[in-house]
Amino acid sequence: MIEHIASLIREEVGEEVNIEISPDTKHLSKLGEFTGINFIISNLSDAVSLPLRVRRIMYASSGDKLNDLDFDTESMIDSARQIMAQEIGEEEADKWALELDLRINSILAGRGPMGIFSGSESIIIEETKEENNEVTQTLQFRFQNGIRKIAERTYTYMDKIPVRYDEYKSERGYENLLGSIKSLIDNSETTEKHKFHHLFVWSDLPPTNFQPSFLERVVVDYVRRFIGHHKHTAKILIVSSISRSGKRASNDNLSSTETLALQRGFGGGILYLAPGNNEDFNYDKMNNSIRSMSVYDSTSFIQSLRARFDELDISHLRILDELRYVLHESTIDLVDKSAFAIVSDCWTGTWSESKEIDGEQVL
Amino acid sequence: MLCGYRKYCTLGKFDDREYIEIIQLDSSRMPSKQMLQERCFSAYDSNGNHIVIDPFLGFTTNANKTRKLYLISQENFSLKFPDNLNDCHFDAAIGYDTISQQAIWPIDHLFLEKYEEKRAALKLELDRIDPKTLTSGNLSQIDQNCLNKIAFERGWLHSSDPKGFFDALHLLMSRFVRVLTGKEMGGVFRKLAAIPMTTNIDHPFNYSGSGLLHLAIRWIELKEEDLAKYIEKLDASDDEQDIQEKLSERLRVTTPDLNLEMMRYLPRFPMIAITTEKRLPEIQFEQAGGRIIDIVITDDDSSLLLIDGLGIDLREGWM
Repeated sequence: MIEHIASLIREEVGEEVNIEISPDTKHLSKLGEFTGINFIISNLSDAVSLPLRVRRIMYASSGDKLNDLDFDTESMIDSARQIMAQEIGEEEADKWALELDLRINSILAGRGPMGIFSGSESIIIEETKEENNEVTQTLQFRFQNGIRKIAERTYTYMDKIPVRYDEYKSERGYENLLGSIKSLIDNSETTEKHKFHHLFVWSDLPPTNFQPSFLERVVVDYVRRFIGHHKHTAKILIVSSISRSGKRASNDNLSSTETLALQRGFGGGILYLAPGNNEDFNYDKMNNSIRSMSVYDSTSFIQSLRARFDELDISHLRILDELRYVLHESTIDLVDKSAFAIVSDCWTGTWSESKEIDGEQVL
Repeated sequence: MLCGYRKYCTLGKFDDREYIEIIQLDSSRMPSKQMLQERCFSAYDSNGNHIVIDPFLGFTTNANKTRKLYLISQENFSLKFPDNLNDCHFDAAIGYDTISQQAIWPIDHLFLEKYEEKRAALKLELDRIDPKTLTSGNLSQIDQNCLNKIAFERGWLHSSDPKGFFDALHLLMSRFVRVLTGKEMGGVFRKLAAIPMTTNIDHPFNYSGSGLLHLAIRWIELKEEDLAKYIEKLDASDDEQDIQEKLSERLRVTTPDLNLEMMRYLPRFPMIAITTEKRLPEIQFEQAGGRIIDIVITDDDSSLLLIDGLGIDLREGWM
């Protein structure tokens, strides 16, 4: 199944994206050297090591790019500290610079370097105003005592539109700060492109037993939904058959390691339902065009689904909490067995909201 | 280069590589040196060569440096770090309060910092609560709904309670919110409450209310002595005093006998579980006092935790 999922992802994302299948957990150094966008598709059981894997990729891969980034952030913080020192004194400025450093580390861990330049937690804010075909942009910095304009640039659409922070003219006294910010964004854009999407897959049957369009739907949805700012995303994908009338769908149930791995998954995921060829779910003959409602109202279908959850011993797990239902309604490639899939987010411990700082908790 | 196990001397020359030392905190059977080296401290580099690694890289700034790690059975760790209160998912919890025996969330940490700053003013304002000044709750409807849900989950309210219980709880929380927003606090808690809070991430609750409500609830839970002080000084009419006392009994976070030498607030420790296939169902990745970052399956019939103390000597005071 993993290879099939990988091929579906490949079809969706193209050749430029790296797809790594079932990496050996002992070979994580290799992952740390990957650049660009990476999908890492693993067996569900590997999710037990997810926090270790993510941190290892993040912290064991300090190549030159990251060293440059460290230098640029330090340079920016020091320039800002010097400005603040003139206003609030050395001692207070040092204290603030330390706080800023921690905040930037938190952003880097959660959203990556571009989080410094965009989003609600950003340190640098760019504002754009347009009047009479003339665009004025201001660059602002979040100092201890508020957000302050540090540079401005103006251009018209007749001009060559400046890229990144080119053409910005510094306000007086902010020259060094602007210089370090320009250098930082140049390096950030390169580093920002490195993203890792971890997918942990379990299935009870080979892919040929499932409706092809169903698997494609689930995978395409997964690929399109991951897009975001996070450097690492992790999801669990369970694909399982559902039997009718109490027969076991498959002898293949979750191993104890796989069940444990499901603890990494959150609730609030998506449950995809794919009724099989012989599923009699159109109870209401007058309204049988409303297929989705009839599926949800189909007692036997829902009972079979619940029975499969029980067989898999996952009913008590939080990945089943607050699921959103999606019905796969394609009928051209129906197969005999009904099926379901669950896609659930996992905690990678690197979300910017987690308030962790450089690996250490804040306490 | 980290050496998984220290080799003290080779042909009279000291081995000055960085090393880790594993300290046993209980009488659990120490896994073999070979197993630990091979399963916890080894990996391959990108050329496929065998290398020694520090599994706690990224979890501590002391990774790849000489330090002590600690080994304890899961049973004893749970006894030392029980969850006295929250009974929820600890993924985003950042620390542990050894006195109230509960996990600490990001908003708790920020609150406790401000609490220390305003401790004297808070105590004074609690003393000054006049039952005649605020005679009924004044929380918004959204906050009341949130409080109601949390109260049932926490067991502060029971379905058999008369309506007066919720009204009394509403009043109690309103008074604590009022103290937090008092003039003497200089807007410190208002500012804190204005920070966007994500459920289950910034605080342990699954429900969203105003920041002030969440601060008030966590204040009561983290500083049980302040709730006691409120009751002691309230001096309300008999009926009101009675119901407020009953409620406060339900709200009170019971604390065990205190070891005053122990550190009160600790980080949640990163841990590696070393266990058997048979005992995997007992494993909880996210525990009040720590987070399991990896699992090593062995044949020894035990369930052990290899802990990075994050710079804290786990032998001292509280073990």
